[in-house]
Amino acid sequence: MDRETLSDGLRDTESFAERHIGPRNEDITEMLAALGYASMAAFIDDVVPDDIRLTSPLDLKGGGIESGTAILAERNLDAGRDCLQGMSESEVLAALKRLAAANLVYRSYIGMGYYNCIVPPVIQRNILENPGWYTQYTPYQAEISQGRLEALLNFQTMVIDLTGLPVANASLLDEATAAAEAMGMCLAASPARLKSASTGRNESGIFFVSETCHPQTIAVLQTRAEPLGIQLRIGNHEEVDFDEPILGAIVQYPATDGAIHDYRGFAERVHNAGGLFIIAADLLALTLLQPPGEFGADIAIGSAQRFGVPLGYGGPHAAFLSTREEFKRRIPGRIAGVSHDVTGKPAIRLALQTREQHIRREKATSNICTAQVLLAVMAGMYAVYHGPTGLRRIAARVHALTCMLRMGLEEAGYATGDAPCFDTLCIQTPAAEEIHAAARAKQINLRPIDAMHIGISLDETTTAADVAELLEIFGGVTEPVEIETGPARLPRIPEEFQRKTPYLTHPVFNSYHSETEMLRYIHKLQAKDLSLVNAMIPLGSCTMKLNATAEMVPVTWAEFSDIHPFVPREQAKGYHALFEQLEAWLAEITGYSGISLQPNAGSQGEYAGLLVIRKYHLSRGEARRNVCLIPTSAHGTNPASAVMAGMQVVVVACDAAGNVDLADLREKAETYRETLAAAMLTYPSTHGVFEKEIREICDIVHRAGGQVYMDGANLNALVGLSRPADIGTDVCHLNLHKTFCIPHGGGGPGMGPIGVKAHLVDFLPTHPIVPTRLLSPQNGGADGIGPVSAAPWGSPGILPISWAYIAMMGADGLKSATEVAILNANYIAKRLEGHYPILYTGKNGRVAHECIIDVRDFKKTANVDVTDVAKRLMDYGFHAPTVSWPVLGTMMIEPTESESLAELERFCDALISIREEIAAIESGVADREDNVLKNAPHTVDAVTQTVWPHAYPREAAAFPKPWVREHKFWPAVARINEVHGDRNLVCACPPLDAYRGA
Amino acid sequence: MVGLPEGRWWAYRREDGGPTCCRQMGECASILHNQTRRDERKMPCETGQNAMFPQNLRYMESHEWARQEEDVATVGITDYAQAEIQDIVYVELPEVGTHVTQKTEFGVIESVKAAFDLYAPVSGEVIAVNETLVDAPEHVNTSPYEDGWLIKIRMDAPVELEALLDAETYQKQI
Ligand SMILES: Cc1ncc(COP(=O)(O)O)c(C=O)c1O
Repeated sequence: MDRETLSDGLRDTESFAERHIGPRNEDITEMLAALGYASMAAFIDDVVPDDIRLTSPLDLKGGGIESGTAILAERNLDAGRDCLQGMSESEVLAALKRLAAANLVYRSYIGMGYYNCIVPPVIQRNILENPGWYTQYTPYQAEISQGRLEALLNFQTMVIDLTGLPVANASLLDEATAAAEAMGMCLAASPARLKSASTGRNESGIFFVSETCHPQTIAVLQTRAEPLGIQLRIGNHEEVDFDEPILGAIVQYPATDGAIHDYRGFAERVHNAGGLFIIAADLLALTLLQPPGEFGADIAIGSAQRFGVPLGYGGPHAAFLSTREEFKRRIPGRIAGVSHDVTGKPAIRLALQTREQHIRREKATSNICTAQVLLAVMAGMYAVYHGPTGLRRIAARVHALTCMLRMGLEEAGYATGDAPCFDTLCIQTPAAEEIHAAARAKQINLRPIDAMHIGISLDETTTAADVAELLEIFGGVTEPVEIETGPARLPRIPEEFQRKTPYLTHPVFNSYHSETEMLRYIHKLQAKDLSLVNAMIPLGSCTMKLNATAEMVPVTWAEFSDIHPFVPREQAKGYHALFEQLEAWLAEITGYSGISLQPNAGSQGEYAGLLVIRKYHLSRGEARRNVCLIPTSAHGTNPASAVMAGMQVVVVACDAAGNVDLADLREKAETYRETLAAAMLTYPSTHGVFEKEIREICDIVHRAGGQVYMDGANLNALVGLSRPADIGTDVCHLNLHKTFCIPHGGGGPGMGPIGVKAHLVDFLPTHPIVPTRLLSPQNGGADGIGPVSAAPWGSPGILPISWAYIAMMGADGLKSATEVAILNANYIAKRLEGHYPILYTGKNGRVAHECIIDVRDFKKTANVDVTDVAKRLMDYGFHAPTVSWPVLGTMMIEPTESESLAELERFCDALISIREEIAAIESGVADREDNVLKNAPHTVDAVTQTVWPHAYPREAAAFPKPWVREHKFWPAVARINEVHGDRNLVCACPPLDAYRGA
Repeated sequence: MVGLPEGRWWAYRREDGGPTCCRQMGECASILHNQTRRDERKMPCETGQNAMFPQNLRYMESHEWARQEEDVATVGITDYAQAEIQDIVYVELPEVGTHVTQKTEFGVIESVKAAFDLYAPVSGEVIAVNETLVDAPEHVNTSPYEDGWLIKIRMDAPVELEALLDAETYQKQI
């Protein structure tokens, strides 16, 4: 049958684009008419500057990188078929099934910071697979995020208890970058830093890295240290002598080869040399071992992956960081902290936000923004579900099996070293190759350490039969060994390493151990969180679009989720075909020649991209080029990333319209023409405007010898209409968690791959363990910048989401999505313009995919500020837009293409109604202090109190519009006291009586 | 409105998705307290009472003050600055014994919404820091010239004070 006719015939009923895009065709016509246009084409012509328009449709079949499609064809995985048209949901699931089947799920004993684990099904289904948990953004509106914040507080409490250090954050991107962040803390805390800052940071100090840290951690530390001028000393912690002051030192506990060392003496030497002592620790081991805080650690970091988070071929996983009280203000990333609301009831919020490093722009020592909230929530829930007893039992079992294996191997004549171990052995053998071959024949992966050593790490999923099988592979025994109940025969962890202090004593870790209780706890928390299942979340610059179920389903398929990042590549062919195709598509969408999937968030993309630019200049003998021009309107991660890449930030002014001030840019480009490395631009601008002069801006930078970095956070306004490379930029990151549908997870995971032009391809990130080069020859060769993430392809476990999105939308669907995203924003601007001033518009008075409304004047006229409006929106059942960014005191609204006309109308109705409430204050009808805005949000407690103390009726407080009567999302707490929480940081679960009587 | 001195930076917490920062006091002022506060605060200055800017102090354009007692200068931030940045939650100060240089940073002050650098009005050795601010940073808000002092510096050269502004000039520039 003719394919064309077939797919045409199916389109009407099966087009995914029509599911993804909110407004119906007739709505689109109506909205265009409201804006004065007869067609979408005429509208887009009016909004997007002509000289940046893409003239031909995206060619998503081939793209710049052919091999992915070739592999698909070869394996008869015709997934790329017809994707110009877009696949249906069932087709994409079938295609992904075929890709998944090309991955081989072997039993892996590779270890190295990644372990098999059992994801409790109650957590998998009710959190990982539940849009009530995965669709939110970072919990900035704390009153409607209490569930997630409580879950994060649990995570922090767990980390604090297990590491024995009193302050913890709520997640970093992976263990290796957490180590790098800890190194950054050492630098920030060292008095030497101020001195070196003035001398250009060429010599920032010495940092010691134990050679028995995981190799990917060492490699990421090397990448991070070099541009900052930190000298890494990699060596044996027992032998090293510090004859000069050091910034700090890091060791692994237990070490990568499994050995448990006594670090007490070393801690003292580090401190005597003026350094901070960092321990990369394993959380499961810490249930049995003495915690780092008890033997001199200043900082503990590590991965929480093995607490019930799937391997996913490298991620996403949450990393943790805990430290001593003294350094709490130097902690990178986000911290959930306890405060109270206006009624005195305990309430949780993100604490110490002005401490967050990227807010400090060019003074930052870290750029982390989006982290790994969803995975931190899962890990915390794993601890809640198992409790201290359960965790100890799991750990003891893993340890007992490891001891059995060790004894069996030793009886068979293998040496496994003298050091005590927890779950990992390093086995000496002259026949490593044969043993690996024997293992592979049984579909087992061991860790190839070198020609003479093999590593084995056991985990929660290991059984006695597995141990027997391993022994068989080593030729030790042919009969399965019997596990002795009551393992009296087994060696224990030596007394001096044993953990003596209790942990997870808080009731939350001791209450929900039956599945029913757990299920209800998870849902109790979920009910306190407003997510996309409740209402639109119009956060500007965050692109809160649909995370379609069909995109999410494959994430938990074993063929994607149960693969260790360091398995031989032949076992991950399905993944590699997916990477290749995704890279090809992203290359076509952006116009670049090479893509690196390694960066784990937008911030890491910025950092990687700037390192690529730096390396490019170095390769041309232009080491002097280290100035980075950044407009004042840029996101804080931009200058923070530039500083981390060893660049000097020079700020470029913006004009009254919010655009880059061309005169200032020209002047600065001229001033720094000898030293200019790069300029960082956001397009469309952070103000949500298509700047007309973008090409000229790129030209100015290029003429001065600089490269143009584009922050791709706003790519949702470009896909299919314009390509970053064609505009004149050289590097760009894509937030897959914005434009390409990876859910925000309540604050992560994210993915920030970068695209680069041909002259930069050689410098893309590499990886020390799995060459990123083999399958994508153009991706990261010997000149590469090294790794920026622990895993070679960042967080592969969530890449099927973006792959499915592109495959289902096809070129036409992607373009329509962009058009509707722009239409939705302009429609909102139009509806609100008579009520609120709209700041910044571009060509023909139009905005791009987001718009800013100004509420600053109400302070004067009605004593109302932007926070009051944001909190009042909660009473209407909405999450506020982005508050006070990029312009203080304003709100930035980004509806995305996925919101229907009905939802846009509801949202605009809410804002217009709030404007009327403000008018009532202005005219004196409502009180300037006691009014619905100042007292927002109104909780159930507030509106059911016996004596109603306010000047307005209860109905006006809680039911300002009919839809809230029909279905109401109640804020869990009243307005939170921010000051109290920042003056008194409490980042662990408070005792239960704190909640009593409140 | 006068811009902030070169190199000074203000950072603001962005409530929904990231930070923002501006360098112009005009921008900061209008947004942090939405214009009205400036109007309110003008009044005492215009009535000439100068209650908020004691005559016996010397001022920096970056809103620090210094009070001389022999060769020791006590340093704090002005009433205007504390009102600008609102509820102060943390003050990071140097250790006693540190040497500071005039017009360079010696610490950081943070509110829920903003963080900014502190500049030394004079060069010298830090001989005391206000320890009470560790537990009660709000003293800077409630008593910027007395309980909310930040550090005491033993001056290298008291003549440096002469380069600073007097109350009247400072008041004019804000
Ligand atoms: C304009 C802009 N740039 C960069 C980022 C940082 O991206 P990520 O949070 O993925 O690190 C953001 C995130 O909100 C952003 O809005």
